[in-house]
Amino acid sequence: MTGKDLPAELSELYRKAFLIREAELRLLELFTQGKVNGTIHTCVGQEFTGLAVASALQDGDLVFSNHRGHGHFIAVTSDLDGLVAEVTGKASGVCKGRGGSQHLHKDGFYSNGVQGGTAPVAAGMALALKLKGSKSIAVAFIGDGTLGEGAVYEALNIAAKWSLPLLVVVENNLYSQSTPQAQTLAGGILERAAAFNIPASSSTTADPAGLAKAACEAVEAVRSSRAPRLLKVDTYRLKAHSKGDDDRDPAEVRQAWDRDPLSLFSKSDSRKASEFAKKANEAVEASVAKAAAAADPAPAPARVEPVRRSRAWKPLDLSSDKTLVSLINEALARNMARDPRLVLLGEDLADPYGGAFKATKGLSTRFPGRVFNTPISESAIVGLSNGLALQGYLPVAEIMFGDFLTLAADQIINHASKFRYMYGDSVKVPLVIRTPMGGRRGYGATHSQCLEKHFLGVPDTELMALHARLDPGPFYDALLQGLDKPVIVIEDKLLYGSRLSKPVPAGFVWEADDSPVPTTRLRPAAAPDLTILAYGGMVPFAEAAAERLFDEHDLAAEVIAPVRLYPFDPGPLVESVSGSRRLLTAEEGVGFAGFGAEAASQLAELGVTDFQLKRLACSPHPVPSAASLEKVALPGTDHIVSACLEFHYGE
Amino acid sequence: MANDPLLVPVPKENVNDETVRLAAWKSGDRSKVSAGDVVAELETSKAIIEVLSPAAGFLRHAASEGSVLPVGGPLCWITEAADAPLPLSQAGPQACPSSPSASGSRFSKAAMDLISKHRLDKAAFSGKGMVRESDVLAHLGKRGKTAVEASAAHLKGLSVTREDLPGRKLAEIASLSQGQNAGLSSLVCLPCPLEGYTKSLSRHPEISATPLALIVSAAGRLLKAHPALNAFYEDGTLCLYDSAHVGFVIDADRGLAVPVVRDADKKDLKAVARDMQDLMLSYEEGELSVEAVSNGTFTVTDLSAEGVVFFHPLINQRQAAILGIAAPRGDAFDLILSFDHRVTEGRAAARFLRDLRDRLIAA
Repeated sequence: MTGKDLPAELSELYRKAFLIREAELRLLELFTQGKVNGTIHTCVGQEFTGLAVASALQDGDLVFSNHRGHGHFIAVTSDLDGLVAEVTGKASGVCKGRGGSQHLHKDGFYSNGVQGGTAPVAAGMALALKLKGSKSIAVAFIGDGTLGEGAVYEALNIAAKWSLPLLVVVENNLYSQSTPQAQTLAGGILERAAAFNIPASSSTTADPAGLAKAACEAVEAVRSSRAPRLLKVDTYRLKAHSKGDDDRDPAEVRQAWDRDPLSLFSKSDSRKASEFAKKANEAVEASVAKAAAAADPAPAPARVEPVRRSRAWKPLDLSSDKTLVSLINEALARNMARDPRLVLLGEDLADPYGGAFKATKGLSTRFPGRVFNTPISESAIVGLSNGLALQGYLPVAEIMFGDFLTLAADQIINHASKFRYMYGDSVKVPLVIRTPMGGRRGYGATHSQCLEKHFLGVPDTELMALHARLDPGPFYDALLQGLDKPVIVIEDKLLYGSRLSKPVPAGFVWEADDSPVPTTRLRPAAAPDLTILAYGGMVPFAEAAAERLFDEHDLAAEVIAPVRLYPFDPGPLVESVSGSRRLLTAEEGVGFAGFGAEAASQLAELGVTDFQLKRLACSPHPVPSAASLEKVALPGTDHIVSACLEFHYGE
Repeated sequence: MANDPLLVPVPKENVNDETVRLAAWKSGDRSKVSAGDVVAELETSKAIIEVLSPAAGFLRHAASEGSVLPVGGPLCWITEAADAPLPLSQAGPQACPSSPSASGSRFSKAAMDLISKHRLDKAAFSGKGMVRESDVLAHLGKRGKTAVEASAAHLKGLSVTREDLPGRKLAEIASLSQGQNAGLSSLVCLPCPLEGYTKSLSRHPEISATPLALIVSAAGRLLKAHPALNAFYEDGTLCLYDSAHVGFVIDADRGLAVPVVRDADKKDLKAVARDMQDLMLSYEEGELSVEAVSNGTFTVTDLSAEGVVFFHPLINQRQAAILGIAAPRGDAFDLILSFDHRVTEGRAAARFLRDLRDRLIAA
């Protein structure tokens, strides 16, 4: 083929391919010069994949790319300046220098450096498009190496089952970093799609014209069928996975260079190739010069709020005698009626079952199309929620047992909590994950845990724990009306069946402070001799212990029960412990490096150092099933009373 | 005979609910129902469930609609007649109280103890949400002429350190105080020849570990012949015990205790000694049961090991006498009997001691 008979569209693809090639080679050079902080992954040799797909996309289409995403980014956004500035860490970068090479976002383009988890997020964006009735589609770029990740299959399954407009492009470059495909991939790639009844096609970067046609057909098929497709693109990475880590046979790499479409094009049409190369060089040098002149990014301002030393307290309204689960159900219904963006995702949520704990009973009937019964795919539940949240929805996901939150940890820690900051504050991830934790039901080691400490302190992800004395109605109303970030809400299993109206021990009063997410406290009428810090499922036990400590031991205990554990407002605890000088922290999970340790440290940092401290937590082994063992392992009223008496009478 | 009312408890439907709400009665109170009829609808945290009548009869409501009931508690009864009586303790609705908070003060146990000790009116603390020991003490401090103040006046100019007495001592005071019969106790004392006594002991090597068993056993057997000493005085009457349970005082590392040898009059010496060994072992292990120290009818206390040659034992409550054993002085040691003069006299008490001495040297 010569330049003369090259169609205009194809010529444009070559022009952009030269630009991407030039940009990445220049970035490698900048890396060598120490001007790139961290490594980069180039797509040298694979440029036509992104270009072919992008050429078929329309405004409004969404793309989720990966660690090797420079080519995709340029192909989709044409923002060379933004990319070079981002990779070289400048304020003018598309993500203000926070994301870097692997974490790019502009308009409808997103990328993340973790393998696999992007597939459910892209599926969630496709679900958002479907819910909006849009004609747009979502595209996920993954590699053959990504096929080792389970999250991909969760996404394929749901995309097929729910008929989501998602195109999955598998760049088959035959290597997972350094490991050849022969060692990692069983079965075929197209056969994987077939297993989900997802139509699939195949093409290669060795044939840019054919690839452009295949990509166009795939994009249009998704657009018209409103259903997923998979496009496998055979290709080869001409450079190392990253930098200087290439163990492939040099002969194999040399042969690939010989087949490189840009090398072949330079041979067949050297005049046009020189022209494209020159233009590319000029553009890249201009971008590099601009980036070099740009300012370094300013650190995000510290968002530490001063600890309020005084606050107004008012009694909690404990008049409702409905079960807490029905109050949660009503709150979800109320907010779904108020805000059409609110959707529910999780296992077994729809009627007639209505959720394992019945929190969503009736909602699928009342709000058709907004309650999604998912497969058993926790990663996809949160991943889809992430995609929905990025596209303006308010997903409320339910993880049936808190123990299974670990299966969604990647989506919470590497996706939901990262997007806002690493995309330069250009997105929000309004997302609620509700999940019950706690034992005392004999469910054993994997259905009884309190794992909150593993999710405490994830930046930008708030963690809250409901308890049996807090009305979940106003709590969820406030949360869902002001939602702009991921929030994990722990709903202790025992609280579902309890009622606010259970009599409060005489002499005590339950109060809440005036914070948006309140701290609650059980205040004795007498000056407290000691403070018990408890939250979630421990609160009823702390209340019973306070009652017994007074009746039997003449000791007045104040229970401080924060609802938001992260970020933690230590003010009420400071106030209480400053007076009582004795603090018992009670948590149902394992105590090492737990919430009690954190709270006590914060007290000390705030200058409250003259106090006795005891930490109560579960025994450091899995939660046993036998009732007798569970009673010993999980801290209850007896444990709290004994620990408090030790303050006064020694051990 | 009519069958008892059949109790239908609130069923446990799932592991999450400790209470359920009675959504509706499906049959009226005292209405006729057949087995398998739906009688009530309950709202659990997960679902509305129906409760079926387990039998034919008349439905008797135990709660009203809308109330919150504890799982396992009574829901209703099925009775044979519409007006059959219901179990008294169960009659009436058993709903959980649903008022948010009981009003009124909360008293700690320590506060209540002080209040009853000083016969205070709890109303004196109304308006105070929680009342603890320190509040009661403060209240006592404010009252006019109180015992505490009077005693403080008595101690004026003297410095004292007050220490709480252990509960054990308080119980002992209570027991002995009641035994002190308004000062009408008396004392008799009789020497017992040491030689005869030690010979007796040498004839019974089986009790060498607990030589006191010889005295406990002899005294126990003698009580039948001296019933007034195995008795107590109450409201103008003499109350005679049918059994002779002899307590013996132990006062070692674990404090004062008076374990009791049951039916000491009916047991042979060896059995008495074995009982005493068991009781002493329990004492040393801190496992003396309440039963083991209860219902003594007569007591023996031995201070001979301390070298005490004379002392005044205090009579326990609901007993008439206590026998003290002193250390030898010369070739004899004293048997001391402290007794309640309201139930017997010195001569009778002396006769008991004589009989006892004779048995001890001839055993």
